[in-house]
Amino acid sequence: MKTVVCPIFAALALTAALYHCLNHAFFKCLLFLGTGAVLHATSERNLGRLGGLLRRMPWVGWAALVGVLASSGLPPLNGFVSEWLLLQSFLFTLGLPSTFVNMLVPVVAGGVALVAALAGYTMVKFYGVIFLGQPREERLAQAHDAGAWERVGLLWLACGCVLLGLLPAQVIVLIDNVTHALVGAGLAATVRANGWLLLAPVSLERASYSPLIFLFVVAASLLLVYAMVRRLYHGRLRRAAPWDCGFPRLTPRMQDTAEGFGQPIRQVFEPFFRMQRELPSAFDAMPRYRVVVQDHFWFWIYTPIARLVENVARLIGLLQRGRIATYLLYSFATLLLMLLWVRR
Amino acid sequence: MGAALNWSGLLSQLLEIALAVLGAPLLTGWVNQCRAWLQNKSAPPLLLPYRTLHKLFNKEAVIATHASPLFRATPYVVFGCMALACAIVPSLSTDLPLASAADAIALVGLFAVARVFIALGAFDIGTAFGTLGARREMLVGFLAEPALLMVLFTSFLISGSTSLATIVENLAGRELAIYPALAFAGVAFTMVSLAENARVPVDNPATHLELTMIHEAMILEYSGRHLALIEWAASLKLFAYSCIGLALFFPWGVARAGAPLDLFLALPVLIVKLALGGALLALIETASAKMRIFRVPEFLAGAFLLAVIGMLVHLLLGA
Amino acid sequence: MSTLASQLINLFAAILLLLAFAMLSQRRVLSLVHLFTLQGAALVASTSVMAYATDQPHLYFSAALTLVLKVLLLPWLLHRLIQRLAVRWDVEPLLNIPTTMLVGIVLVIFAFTLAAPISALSASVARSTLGIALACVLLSFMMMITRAKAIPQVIGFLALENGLLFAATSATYGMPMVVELGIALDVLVGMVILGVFMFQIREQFDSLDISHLEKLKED
Repeated sequence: MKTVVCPIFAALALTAALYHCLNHAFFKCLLFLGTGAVLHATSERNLGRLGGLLRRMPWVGWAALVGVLASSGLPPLNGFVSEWLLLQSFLFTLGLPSTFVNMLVPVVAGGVALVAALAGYTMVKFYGVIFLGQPREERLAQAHDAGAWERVGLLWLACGCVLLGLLPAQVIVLIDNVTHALVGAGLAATVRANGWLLLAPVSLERASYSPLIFLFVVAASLLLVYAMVRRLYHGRLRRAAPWDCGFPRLTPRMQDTAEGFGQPIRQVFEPFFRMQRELPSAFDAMPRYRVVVQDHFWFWIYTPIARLVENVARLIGLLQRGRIATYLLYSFATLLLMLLWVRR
Repeated sequence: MGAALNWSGLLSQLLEIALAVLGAPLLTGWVNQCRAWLQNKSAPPLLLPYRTLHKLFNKEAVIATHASPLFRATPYVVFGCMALACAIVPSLSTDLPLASAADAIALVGLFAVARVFIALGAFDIGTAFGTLGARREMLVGFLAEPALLMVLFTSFLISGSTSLATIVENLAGRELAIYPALAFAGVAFTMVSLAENARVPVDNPATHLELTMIHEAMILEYSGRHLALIEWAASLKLFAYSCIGLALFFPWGVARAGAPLDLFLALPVLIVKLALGGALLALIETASAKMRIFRVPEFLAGAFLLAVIGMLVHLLLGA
Repeated sequence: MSTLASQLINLFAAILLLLAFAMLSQRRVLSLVHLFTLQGAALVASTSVMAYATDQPHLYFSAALTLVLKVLLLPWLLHRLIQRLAVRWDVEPLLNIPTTMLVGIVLVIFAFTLAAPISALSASVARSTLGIALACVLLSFMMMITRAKAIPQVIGFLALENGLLFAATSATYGMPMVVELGIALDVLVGMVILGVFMFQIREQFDSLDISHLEKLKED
């Protein structure tokens, strides 16, 4: 077996990856269950016909919020812990022996940060279009909330996300067995030495993160501000129609659609996609906008391979005649060839 | 907590939070004054932001009939995040107990939490302007956050740690030398800071035209105490970014752990540095024109790539 | 003393790289000329510092030549050309600007990785800057490829020569004077010919868009 050059660095990176797999399982399942509940309640998958479901389906909505925040990698939930560990492992590049990898790793770290930020963008779109705003169809008013067992399913996953985010030290101790088996080192020793409150995978001076204290301080300042504002001033609230800059006829069709929210990304990443657009003209009585976005790699890599596989399969198909005698002939010929070969 | 919870640490932590929360509107007022002077207008009073906050707190909060609890909770969440962000940046002293709870990467995460919540709050009412602002803010944030992370990475690689307190102690303790990597990172940080704080050339904070707004469009539906908290949180964000910039690139004068009396020197030094920084911000705002929204990704991509080059230069030159 | 000198040279190298990148992302032709002038100035400064630190008087001549040519004469020629051709803006480059910058980063990594073993062989005090010089050359080359108008291509060519000069200075204490004078003359003559060429393009196609040259192919 190859010896690992820097076992502690390898253990850190491996722990980050495994932790992320675990996190991904929890928040992805939670989000899928959430969308399943929405589909079940509204029989709609099209984002253009959803909206405002937080008021009709509060259990699903708030659980999905936990999933959305976790998947965007926001502290103090679980997505952030694995992202934090991954970025920490990138910072050890100066200790690596190869110059090329040394230089490539910071750029890859930049790529990871970019992807995490893009995930945040997508999740805001997902949650905002489905659960917030106003309903885009009238029959959404009949949407029912999740049943009792559905709630259990959503809740335990949401609790998982929260706990994985708040108690990272314990999870790393559990992952330690795996990293020991693969690279011969583990983080459990250092993590245990720094206590259960703080996560310091290498050393305290290097980096540390405490999700519990983080959550406590934010919650405490939130409550303190709330209380002080009520005490020093007042807590009066009045409900009225939305301001909307004085525009009187606000309809649900005026809020962003999913395609509209994603338009900046399409514009910025245009060279990376293959896009076909149909734009309405100014004189259309019923204007129609259509965009088809496809991946270049689909056409460059996947389609040629599929075509190749198809051609090879067709060639092999020539061998299948449907007559039993032919198949028996194949087996017989292979047997003869093998005997010939073994004889030499 | 990691660092020993001693009295001097607690004192410097509380003093920093108090200074940030109470002094951030003053920094905003100073920037507005400098901008007015540079544009040859008569300047608004320096304490105007405090009067605005007081006026807003006194008013009744009016919200849409179908606003959800998320909309009502967002101003408090955003304020809490910004307060924590100011608490972990070593502006006065590096002896901060909370700095062991959240390092610089968690700081970037804090800004991301605030951004996501404000964007969701803008979505909540379902107006065209709110979602427009949310979409633009997420676009700016999606590029600015990695750029900020890359800038911090350069400092991490130089100081060998992700804790801002350790970085400041490390950089302040070195002898004066020219670090080209930090020069690149400094330019990139200025660009990111302009984008994230909604300043010209990315976004005009004083505009009244909704179609040109990014940050302001998201908060159009807030009023009363909610709006006051969001405006205060925006000042706190500017304060935090200024302190991060000072900590990374001009860290001298910050009190060290174990020398609590240095706090008395650190406070005037910080005030002078922030005043100069605010004047520089006003100068940049006056000398630039606001760019089209689709030039902003190019601007931020430039900042991101500058920061990456800074890191590569550091790895190549060892400087 | 030598640490200050090597720090200054590192700083100027970093500024050169920054300017090469900035030129890649500029749209306006006038700003390109200004950036090119700044690059020439940074080159002059770095050569002078090298001359002072390593006690090589012929580098002073090299710096003086660069000053006269790259900072004074060529920018003046370019300004005149721009005024007479009345060029202000560039059309959209071949790839959009963020993609160009991303490709630029890949080239920078490539240059740095390539230069690492080579610079270990050099005995010069500024050997670690060879990677930066190579990166400048590659970035200017890319600028020549992705620009759609004639003048930014010419500026890319001149910036390429800047990068080469910096590479020579940092790796081997400059080139023999004969070679350097020859290159300087070549660049000057090249500029004059390209200037004439640009007028011809303008007359033929009524625009400086390079893509019009494709009409000249055999059909």
